[in-house]
Amino acid sequence: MSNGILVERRASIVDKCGSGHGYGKGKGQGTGKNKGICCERESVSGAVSQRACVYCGARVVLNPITDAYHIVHGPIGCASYTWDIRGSLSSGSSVYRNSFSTDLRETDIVFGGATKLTAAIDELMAKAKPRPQLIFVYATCIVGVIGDDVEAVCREAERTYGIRVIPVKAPGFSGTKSQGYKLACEAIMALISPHKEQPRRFGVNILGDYNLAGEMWIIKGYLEQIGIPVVATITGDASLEKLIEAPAASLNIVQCAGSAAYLAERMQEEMGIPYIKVSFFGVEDTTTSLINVAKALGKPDILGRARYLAQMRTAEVMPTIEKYRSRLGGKRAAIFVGGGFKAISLIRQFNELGISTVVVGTQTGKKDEYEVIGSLVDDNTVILDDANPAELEHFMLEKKADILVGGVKERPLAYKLGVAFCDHNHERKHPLVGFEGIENFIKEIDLSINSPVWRYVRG
Amino acid sequence: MGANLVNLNVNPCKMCMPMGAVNALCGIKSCMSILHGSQGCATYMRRHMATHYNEPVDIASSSLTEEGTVFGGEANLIKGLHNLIELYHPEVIGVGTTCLAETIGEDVGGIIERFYEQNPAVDVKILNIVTPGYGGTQNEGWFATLRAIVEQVEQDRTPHGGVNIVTPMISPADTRWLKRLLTDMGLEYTLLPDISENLDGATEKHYNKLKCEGTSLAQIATMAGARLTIEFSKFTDAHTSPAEYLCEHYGVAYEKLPLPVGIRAMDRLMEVLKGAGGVMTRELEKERGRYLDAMVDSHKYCARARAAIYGEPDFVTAVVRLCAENGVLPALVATGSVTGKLKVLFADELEACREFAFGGETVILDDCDFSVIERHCREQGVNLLIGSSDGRRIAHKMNIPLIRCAFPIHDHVGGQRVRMLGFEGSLNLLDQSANAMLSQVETSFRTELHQQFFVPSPWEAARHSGPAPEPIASEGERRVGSA
Repeated sequence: MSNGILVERRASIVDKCGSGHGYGKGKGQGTGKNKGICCERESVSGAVSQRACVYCGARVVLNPITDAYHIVHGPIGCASYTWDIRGSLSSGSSVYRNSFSTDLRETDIVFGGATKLTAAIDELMAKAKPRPQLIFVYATCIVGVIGDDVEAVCREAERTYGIRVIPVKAPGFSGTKSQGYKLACEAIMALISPHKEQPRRFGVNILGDYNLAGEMWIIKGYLEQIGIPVVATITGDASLEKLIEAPAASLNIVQCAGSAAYLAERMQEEMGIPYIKVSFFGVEDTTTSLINVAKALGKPDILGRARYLAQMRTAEVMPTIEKYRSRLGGKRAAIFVGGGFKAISLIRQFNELGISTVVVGTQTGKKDEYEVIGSLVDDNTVILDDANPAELEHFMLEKKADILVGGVKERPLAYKLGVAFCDHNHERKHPLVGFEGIENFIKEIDLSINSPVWRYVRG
Repeated sequence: MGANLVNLNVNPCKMCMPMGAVNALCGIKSCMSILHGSQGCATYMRRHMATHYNEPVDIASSSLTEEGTVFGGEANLIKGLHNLIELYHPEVIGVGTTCLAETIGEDVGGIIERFYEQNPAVDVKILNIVTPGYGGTQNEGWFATLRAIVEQVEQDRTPHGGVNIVTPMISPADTRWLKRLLTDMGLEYTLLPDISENLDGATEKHYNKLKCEGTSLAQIATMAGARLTIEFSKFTDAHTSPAEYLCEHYGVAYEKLPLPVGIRAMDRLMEVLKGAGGVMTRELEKERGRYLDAMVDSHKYCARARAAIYGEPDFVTAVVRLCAENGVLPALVATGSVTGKLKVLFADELEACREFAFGGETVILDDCDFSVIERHCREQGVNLLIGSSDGRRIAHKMNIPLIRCAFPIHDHVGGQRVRMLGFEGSLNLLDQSANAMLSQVETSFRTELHQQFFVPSPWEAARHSGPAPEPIASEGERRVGSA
């Protein structure tokens, strides 16, 4: 075990150079396809996974709905740890930035918490300003165990108050964070399905962008500039009023596939809205996405404008990319992010900068995404699913990574190892999408990787 | 939001019990913690601790699944223990329960016993820590953990001259200060727990993922032979206090003191430590003198402050006492814990504060959330917040300063270096309070006074628009006029 890798974890690690670690090897695969990394599984007990839980997955997808009251039904912890932790911005209500919890106590565990939940909703309806029109009730770990019928409580409240009260049964143990994403998508379906008969109009819904640091506004801005109206944004800067218009759209574009592809599938099946996956991270993906959206809509004039916009904005950022490439070229990056689609974009972005990706992992990547990842990286790269700190430490050191791109939990580890860090998480306060984001990304990479502090620290 | 809600906690001023457990376990040498429950609990806590301490914190989870929840999570926990031992080689493992494990009725003690039976070669001390998420806040989880440690580590009763020190949640930097104080006073001690290095580690050539500083089991085993236990808490009782346990089972005398913040608490601590054989050093006397000098320097600025103090019970107690000594009115004192005794405890302190402030109200809140705190801050005209960074939204909305000095601090660096204990720590807090008031005055007095007193000269105005106004008549002028 000297390399810090548990036997049970080996199938989730693929070292493309196959240097004899005893876990999956991808040697000799000229196409870069790694044969079946083990992924989309529950975390290994005691392995110190970086993943959160089902509730977390559901909450983060639904939370940016700005005028919703998000009630966490359970003991206080889950509400406390998810209170306003993400940087989703709002152009309207700020109700979503509050954390509501039924704060279950010992007696509730014994006698059940349904009465308290009902009382909580009643009280919210009587006192909360603005009057709630949409409430999500998240059932956390113990709610099912103590026998609370959350669905019945929500149904009753909908009947009494004539508003939407949607249960999200998300006990942490019922799967992985991806299961939570799915539950959130189902909640959105429950919300919009009654409105699916409205007349169609030309325009798109943006799915899977959460308006972190205004990113939804940036993407929406591009689309509007090339003549594509945006019908609903799901869920960044969303409101009940706009969300229920979603079934009117002619196309869904999916930015974060991990969290929203399921919703796109459902909307395609049940509402006949086609979808395409997009990514607005980096020059290459942003350009491709703009063109693909235009193509999917089948309007030549829009396609022309998409190409023009991409060319124009690319020309604007190229000097920055060129300027920094000389300082960044030849560096080695490690990536550990939530979903596979983001990892893919990051690898491409690093390629644009002449940085090679030597470690790449995700919390909840899917098989097909890992295949794309395998095809993008060179033979010196290790690929990990649901990596833990011990593995990240081992491979960052072995592969001599200069920078780690990841979330808050990974940051102190990188710093302790003398590795620079780029925050690509949901708490950041600067946008990383689109052409604006490219500049931010490059600058952040540079200011960490080339900071003078390393000269003294690594000494 | 409208009025405050009673059936809903709106913006929690507390976390759950397992958070206290994992923080406390970071103060035990070569210890890893595993939470028996869903994967998310461990991850959330790691995230909170990572931003506060800026330190890697590895916490395992038994990652309970649907099956484990229905049929029991023994297999998961046992596998988790194996994996944790293989990955980290710890000397101690703390198994903390969660709301889930407790609700499904897991017999963690039994599981640990069976683990030992199945693995006789394993030489790791496994602690069973009962921390249901619904059973209290991080503060109760912290003390439940310390209590479990003293109960479950086999004790050696051989008397020695050392003292035991039990703390509530304090910062690594404050912990380092405490250790230096005891050393300077020539005392042998066991600190429970000691997070000073593990949660504020140095950058070194080789990173060790197992935290190897902190209080060892061997040290803990000597607690039964100590001459005295000092427990810095006013809120522990016979069931939760490590000091009371050591007294009841091993006859170790104890003193429960408030955290050493402010002059009275520090003097009391000095007195107790001297009684335990400690020697007051010249340097400490000088520190005390400097502190008194600083109290005088800033007393008039502090007197402008109407503070809201929120957080864990022992934290707010310490800060209220500091405020009282320095003429700061604790207009609002709030905790998310259920203590039931804040009002009694603070009665005299606050009475004196109100007297100094010529009346004024002081509000004391048990079991409260930030929506309630915000309302009272507005009603009370609070102009200074003291607590964790969770008060930043109120600070922003009300445009008042916030002194970040309690866990968690998410929006600033340096949570691990908060200093508020001892003369120097108290001084740090005092300086920040005084300076917050000075900044408020400095940035507003020109505008405020201009608005309050400046009126354009009547003669100047008259030159442009008519006859000069009559000045007011003095008494003499009125007599002449009427004659």
